[in-house]
Amino acid sequence: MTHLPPDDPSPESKVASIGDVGISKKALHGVFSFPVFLGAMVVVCAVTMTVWDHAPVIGGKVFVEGDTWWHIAVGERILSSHTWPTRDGYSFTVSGSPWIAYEWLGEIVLAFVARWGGLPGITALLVLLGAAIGLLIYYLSWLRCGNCKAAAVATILVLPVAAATFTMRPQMMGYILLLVTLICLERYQQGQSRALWILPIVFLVWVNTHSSFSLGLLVLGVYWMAGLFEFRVGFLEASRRPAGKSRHLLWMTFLCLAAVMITPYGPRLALYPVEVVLRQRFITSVATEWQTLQLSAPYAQVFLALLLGLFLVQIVSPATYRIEALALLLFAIVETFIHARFVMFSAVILAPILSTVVSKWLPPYVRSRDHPIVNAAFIVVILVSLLELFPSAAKLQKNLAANYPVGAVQYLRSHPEVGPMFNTDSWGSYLIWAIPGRKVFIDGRYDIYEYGGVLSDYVNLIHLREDPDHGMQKYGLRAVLLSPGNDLEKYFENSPAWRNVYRDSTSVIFVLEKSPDSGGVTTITAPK
Amino acid sequence: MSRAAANHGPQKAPCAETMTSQNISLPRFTLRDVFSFPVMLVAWIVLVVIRLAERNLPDPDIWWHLRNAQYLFENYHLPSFDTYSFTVAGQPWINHEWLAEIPYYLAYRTNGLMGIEILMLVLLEAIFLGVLFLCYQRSRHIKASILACWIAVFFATINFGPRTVLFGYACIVILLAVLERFRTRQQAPLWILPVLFCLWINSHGSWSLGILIFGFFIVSGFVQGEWGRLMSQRWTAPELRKLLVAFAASCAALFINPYGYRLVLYPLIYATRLPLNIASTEEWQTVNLHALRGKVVLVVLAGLFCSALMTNYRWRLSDLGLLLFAFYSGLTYERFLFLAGIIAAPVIAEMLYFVPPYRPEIDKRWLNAAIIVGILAFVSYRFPSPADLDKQVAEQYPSEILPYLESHELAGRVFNFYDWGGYLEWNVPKMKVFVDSRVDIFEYAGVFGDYLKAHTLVDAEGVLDKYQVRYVLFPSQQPLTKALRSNPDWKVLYSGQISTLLERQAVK
Repeated sequence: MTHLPPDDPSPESKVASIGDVGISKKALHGVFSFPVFLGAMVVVCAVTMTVWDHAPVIGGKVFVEGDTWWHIAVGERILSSHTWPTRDGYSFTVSGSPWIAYEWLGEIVLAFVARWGGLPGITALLVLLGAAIGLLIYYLSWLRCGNCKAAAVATILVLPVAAATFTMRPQMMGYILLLVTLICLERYQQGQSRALWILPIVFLVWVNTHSSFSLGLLVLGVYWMAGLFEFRVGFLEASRRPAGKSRHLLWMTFLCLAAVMITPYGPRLALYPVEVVLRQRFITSVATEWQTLQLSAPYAQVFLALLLGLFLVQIVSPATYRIEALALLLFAIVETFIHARFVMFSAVILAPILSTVVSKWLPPYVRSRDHPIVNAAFIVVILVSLLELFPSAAKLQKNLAANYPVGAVQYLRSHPEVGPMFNTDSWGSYLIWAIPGRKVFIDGRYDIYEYGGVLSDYVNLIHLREDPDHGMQKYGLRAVLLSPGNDLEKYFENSPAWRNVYRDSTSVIFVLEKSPDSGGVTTITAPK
Repeated sequence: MSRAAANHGPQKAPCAETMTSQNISLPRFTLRDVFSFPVMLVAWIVLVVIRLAERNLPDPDIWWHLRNAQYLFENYHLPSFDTYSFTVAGQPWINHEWLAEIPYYLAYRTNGLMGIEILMLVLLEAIFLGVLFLCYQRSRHIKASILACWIAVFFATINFGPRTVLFGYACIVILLAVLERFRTRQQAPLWILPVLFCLWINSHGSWSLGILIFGFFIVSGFVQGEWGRLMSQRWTAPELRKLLVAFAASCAALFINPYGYRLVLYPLIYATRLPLNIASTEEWQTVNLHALRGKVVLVVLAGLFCSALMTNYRWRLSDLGLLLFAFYSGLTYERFLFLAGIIAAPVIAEMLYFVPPYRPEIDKRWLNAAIIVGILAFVSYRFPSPADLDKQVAEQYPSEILPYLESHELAGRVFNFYDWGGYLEWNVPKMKVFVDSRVDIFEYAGVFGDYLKAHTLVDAEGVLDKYQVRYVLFPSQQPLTKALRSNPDWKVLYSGQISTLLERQAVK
């Protein structure tokens, strides 16, 4: 068995052909080989879909995720206090309630990057993570099918789907760890048992970074189970592994299970996914990413087209599936259709299968026919274009102001007398980050708000399902921060009890009307 | 290889009821067969369809369909412009489903809401018995056919209700039955098809799906070959000639309608000029996979994929093409799940060859008879009474306010809830509505967009001012109602459990 994907049919001959030319030329062949060029193509696609506003399918991803800000704030707090939070300190609605930073390691990374590089740094991290995911999908597919061209095609096909989740959250790091796990298992499947030794460390990092480690455990379990059977039905096959090899995987799985207990919160972090399933029913019913996949979205259309295409190909030119690949594929597809957030998992599982299908029609890479200089030229062009794609600091600031209440934050900083304020979830996250010390009504940490009963009140308020004044009184709210055009904004605009004190194109603030002598707020309008 | 045998996979197990020849006529039923196991299973389908559909009477469209048919019967001509609303009054409008409205109107005139309920159930049962026939026609396996028909029933629940589209789906079933008969026997009553399309275009816009199916059926026979497990057999020259003549006649028959080419172009206009309707109407949304129907769809899709992996089922090009189209459409727009069910059911029935066949010799007819009688008794006992139907309507429509509207003249324009437009047109003919669920005419004029702006509070005040609205008749729990209730410019004239009527203090 080989460590590298078996693309080149005659590796010895190429070594002989270049061996006497010198180390530098050999290195040139390696660095600027065609597979590396394909990797660069994958990177440029991933980056395009991550940052470019005019990407064909998905664009302008840097600021679409409100949770980014509270993750940074939590990471900053851990970095500065050298302790892990156990209670809420960001809201006035659930203040002091038990809460754990279940993605603390990812949050530290985010906070460190934000501290070091500000908005450009965060954007660069997102780009790097997106590119890394693209490259790892490419490598995994290459390992599976042994054809770098097919792997690149498959990766580029699934990238529009995967990129739907390329937002700046610790889950990006979780996906990378998922891919690392799959690569280790693929190597193990190909005879490299040593590849498994890294997994306990991966899971140790993973459990402290994102709850998606549970998917990793599922993958390990499926691979282990698949090795217990031996059959072939139609184009589905399972081959029983030797007892020693199977035992090795089982022991590694146990070690991974042990590793996920090593967290600052003990086993609680490892059990968090169970908590999500059992205790966070309301979140999963209201959060967009937990909803049914909306097939009208472009990325979902691509996903559906890939699935129907795979079905068609299976009829026209059947490929043989390993049982673990089919089990994971079916699980991923079903979960993705039911909960859109699993679309990334589907992309990761789908790409190697697609690459196997595509490899039937693409000849393998032959190194002896490679043209490193041409590859090098293209790679340089790609790298330069990547730099061009990277958004400027001014553009980042403009994006931020278009999506978040930057002007309202300035107003609130200069008017600290504005009392407890209602805000939306994503803007709550931004406020936590932008005005440290100011307590919010709600933010993206849905778990604690569901346990405190605030989330359902919030949903009722935002959709005007109950009398807003009743909700305002219940929480003693004195101000409201909303986006113009919001249902609630119209309500407060028409209500004589509330007065508009700030307005710009992104946000509007209302305060509960006070007598002239007791007030301290003044009405301003943002300059046009 | 004959066309009839061509699609049967090599693993296909012989079935007791499988016919050895190409004679595909249905088995003759005797009195003894009335209480057979298959009939008992069919009775279950009938029961389930009734149970699933009986609460779907209050469809928002049925009211304006009744009003249209009433207009036709009173004036002996079809309307060519709008007369129901004040927002698009006098603007050109095509009543593209006029023929399908007549049976509903006659049913209502005969027996009120009960008449509509019975007609709807009869149509649904006819469609699913037709689907069962399609399944049996393909699989020759009654138990597999019934299982596949169950799937079609679950898929179709999205469109259960007194809707004109039911006539469209009945036409699709007839079309598929004729085409399948032609494929297996090389002759079929193709002359029916032009008649069918003539009736279809006057009943519902789904005739375009029929043309698509018919066209793809013909085109798939232009090629011959096997590609993996996909195959196609070329039409012989006489076959192709017959099909092309029938297709051309069907296309020509489309123009036999009161509106000429405009009705033929209607589906195209609907698909391209009504983006707001498609974006905001529930049945045009993606399948909700959290619901049971969505989960059934997923299981079926997973089953089809697994069958592609684990069986040697050989696909016809026409089947595969139509199935991919139907599932793509059905998943993207939930309303097309009905179509997906009809298209998929015969293929699924054929794939279920491994289901043990029906064995008449071990059938327990007395047990079947008892169950069938039990089902009939249950249907009779639980069938909704006229009072139940009135209650269903009262739960969704502002029937409570009708006496108030009868006794009080509203001296001004009324902004009404979208779903209630047709109901008001039917029950309060003197009232001109803001909008109803015909959508097309309102979206062309920009009224539907304005309605959404007001409904979602994006610019309620602006819209109400623009149309000089004096009254708002909306569900009591809607955000707009709550917002206006708290607005001192508006006062509540009537407030009920379902509906609230508000009046503006001074019209701007």
